[in-house]
Amino acid sequence: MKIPHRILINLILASCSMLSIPTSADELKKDIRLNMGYYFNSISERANRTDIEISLNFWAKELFDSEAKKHDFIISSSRAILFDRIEDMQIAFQQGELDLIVAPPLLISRYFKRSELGDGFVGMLEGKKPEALLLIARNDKNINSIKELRGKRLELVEDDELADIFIDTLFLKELKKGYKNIDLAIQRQKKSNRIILDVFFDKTDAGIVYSSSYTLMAELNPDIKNKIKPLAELPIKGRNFIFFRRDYPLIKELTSVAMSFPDSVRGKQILEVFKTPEIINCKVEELAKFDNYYNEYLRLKNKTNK
Amino acid sequence: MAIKQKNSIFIRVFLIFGSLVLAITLFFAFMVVPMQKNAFKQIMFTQAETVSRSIVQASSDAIISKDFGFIVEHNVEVLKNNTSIHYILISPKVGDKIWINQENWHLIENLNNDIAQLENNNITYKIMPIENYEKVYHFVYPIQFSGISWGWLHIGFSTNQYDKYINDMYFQIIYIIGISLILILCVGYLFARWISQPVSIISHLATQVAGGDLTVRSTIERGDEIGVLSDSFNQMVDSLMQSKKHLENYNQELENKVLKRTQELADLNKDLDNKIKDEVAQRQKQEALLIHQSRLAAMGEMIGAIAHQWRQPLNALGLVQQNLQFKYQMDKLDDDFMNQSMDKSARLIQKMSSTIDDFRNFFKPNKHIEPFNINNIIKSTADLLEAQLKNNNIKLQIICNENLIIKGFQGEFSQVILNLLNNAKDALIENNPKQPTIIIDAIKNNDTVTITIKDNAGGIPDGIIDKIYDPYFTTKEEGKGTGIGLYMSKIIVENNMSGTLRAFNDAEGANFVIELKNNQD
Repeated sequence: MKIPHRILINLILASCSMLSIPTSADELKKDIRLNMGYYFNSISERANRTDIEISLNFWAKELFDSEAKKHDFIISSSRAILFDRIEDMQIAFQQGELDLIVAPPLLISRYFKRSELGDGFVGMLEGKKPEALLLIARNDKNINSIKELRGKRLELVEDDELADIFIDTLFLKELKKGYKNIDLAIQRQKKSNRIILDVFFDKTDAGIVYSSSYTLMAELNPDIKNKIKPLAELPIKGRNFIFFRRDYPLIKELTSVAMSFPDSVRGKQILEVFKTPEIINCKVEELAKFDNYYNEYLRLKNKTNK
Repeated sequence: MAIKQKNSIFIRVFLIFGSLVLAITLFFAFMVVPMQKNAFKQIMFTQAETVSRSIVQASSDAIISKDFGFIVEHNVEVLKNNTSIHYILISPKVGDKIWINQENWHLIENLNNDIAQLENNNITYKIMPIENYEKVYHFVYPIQFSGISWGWLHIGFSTNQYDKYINDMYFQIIYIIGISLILILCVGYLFARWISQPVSIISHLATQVAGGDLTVRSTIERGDEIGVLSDSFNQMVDSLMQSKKHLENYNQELENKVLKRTQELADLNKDLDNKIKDEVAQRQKQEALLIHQSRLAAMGEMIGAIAHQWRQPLNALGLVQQNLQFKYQMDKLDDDFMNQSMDKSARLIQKMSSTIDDFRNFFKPNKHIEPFNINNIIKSTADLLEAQLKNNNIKLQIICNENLIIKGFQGEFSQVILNLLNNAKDALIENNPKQPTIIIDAIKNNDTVTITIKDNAGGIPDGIIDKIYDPYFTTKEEGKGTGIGLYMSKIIVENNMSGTLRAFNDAEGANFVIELKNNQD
């Protein structure tokens, strides 16, 4: 079962946030904290708030306690902070209250300075496959291009700015108009899976979904692939990226601990909550792709407005 | 008495307790199993109904608006969160059915008959195999809104939980039975031991007490009946010990008394022996004296008899002398007369000499048992009294077989006959009947010889007939009787001759009967 890894990463990072780890033997007994902040809207589809808090504040702490001893550091305090607004998380990070952030890459690229971020990791699909945004449509609606979406019903994921930018960019490129300016019946759903079901049951004609959801739903009902087809795709690697504060002393050690999650029972339990089976390293430079994509979007939008 | 192991209180209590506990446990297990099964089914029904109601309530808007996306999404989530549910089937009256299980979901047009038959207005369920599931608790919940039937919700529950309940129940029952068995072994052992041990101890102690050991005591101290029994046992043993001591003292005292009394008896016996010996000796002496006296008396009487016997020949001899003197004076004494007179004198002297010989023979000591002729003895004895009898005109009649012979003391027998004849003579002289007669009748029967001496003197007075054998008892005038004649006669007959002497009166006079054994044959 393939699962969006955005939440997973957040969870792992949240777990990491409970650790306070010294960088050397001399620092073992120092009171090193790990405060992690993450953007709740980006993981709410995968897990509810209670599960996240439990997994971060209890399971992750327990796991880090045991794992930290193996890596010769001591966790003195950890804390997970959920942010409903990316702006609040940005402020907290700038004020030095957070040591690690979990958020969609586009939002990180827009709201956080590269100079303040250190390398982190990202949750991947099974087999370390990258995540992607898909524009899907029912086969029986004769939708073969963006243009043919006119007059159709379209569903989007709530509070997903990247999805909005993705569909908007498609329309801007093809029709020179933003989707809000096209004859479309727009509906929003909280979950990408639900959009696929709505398309399947003909509640809508097309939608923007994540590839992990599409794959998952197709596995649950192979008939979905017979009735629904992807029209466009935007590779994004992962739904959520995890980056440390650049001056955080235990980036390497905590990343190593996070990488060992799949090797422990409790770690697997945490990853299961966030539906993220794999974790890989992520460089700050990888945000450049999203910077470019967003800049392109702005350019198209500005061009259209002119 | 040795008690068989199987009959011991311990074994019996143990077996009874164990059987009772086991029986109760098995009984409750037997009762509980069907109840528990029903309870588990009821639990499953309640759970299924709750889940169904929850799903319908959560999906009601979607059902009404035909938002199948929500229905699928919701039920997929339900399945993920409820691993005990194998599948959910949304079956609207019209349109495709949605089949959702743990791995996938899909649409189906028609239900198979087994499932379709369960769709009615009531909640139903059936445990049956469906698709890949061998055993499913298939629950059918009718979906209705405002009384209008929309369709049915089918939920296939895993029976694992139910089976687990049942298995757990059986396991618990086995566990309980196992625990019960352990309890039976442990508690039963302790209980049986608690019951039987004091009894065994007291029994053992009682056996020791029965064997005579009164030093044993029960050390059981309990507040129940066993404790009371233990105390009572100790009190009983104390009492027994005291009684034993008393008995021992009493026995000792008795033994002392017995010893003392035995000594006294021994002394007394010793004195008694001496007294008896003295008495016997004195009696023997007295008897000898009596016999001697009797002989002297007899001799006196014999002297009288001799005097009577001699009177006639002495007179005849005197007449011979007077005739001789007269012839001589007449000078007619010749040789013939002289020879005749001498012959006659010689005969008379010879007769007198013979009389002396008779008396001498009568008194001659003769202490040897020898056969003698009864007739001869009677006649010779009667000859001694012939003169006296003639002088008193007493007729003597002897009836006796001349060949009647017995063995015994001849002299003593003659003395007895003489005593009885003498007494009869004296009685006849005293009473003076017209024809005084004495009859001596001796006859032989089979094994006895009976000699009867009968007179016609009128008999022995009744007042003295029981005393006639007492020594020194006599009715004769003083100087004529000693009172020892009959006494000695009875002693001689009964002691020396093993016979009997008895007397009775008839119409004429007294009868003395001597019965002797006929030992001659």
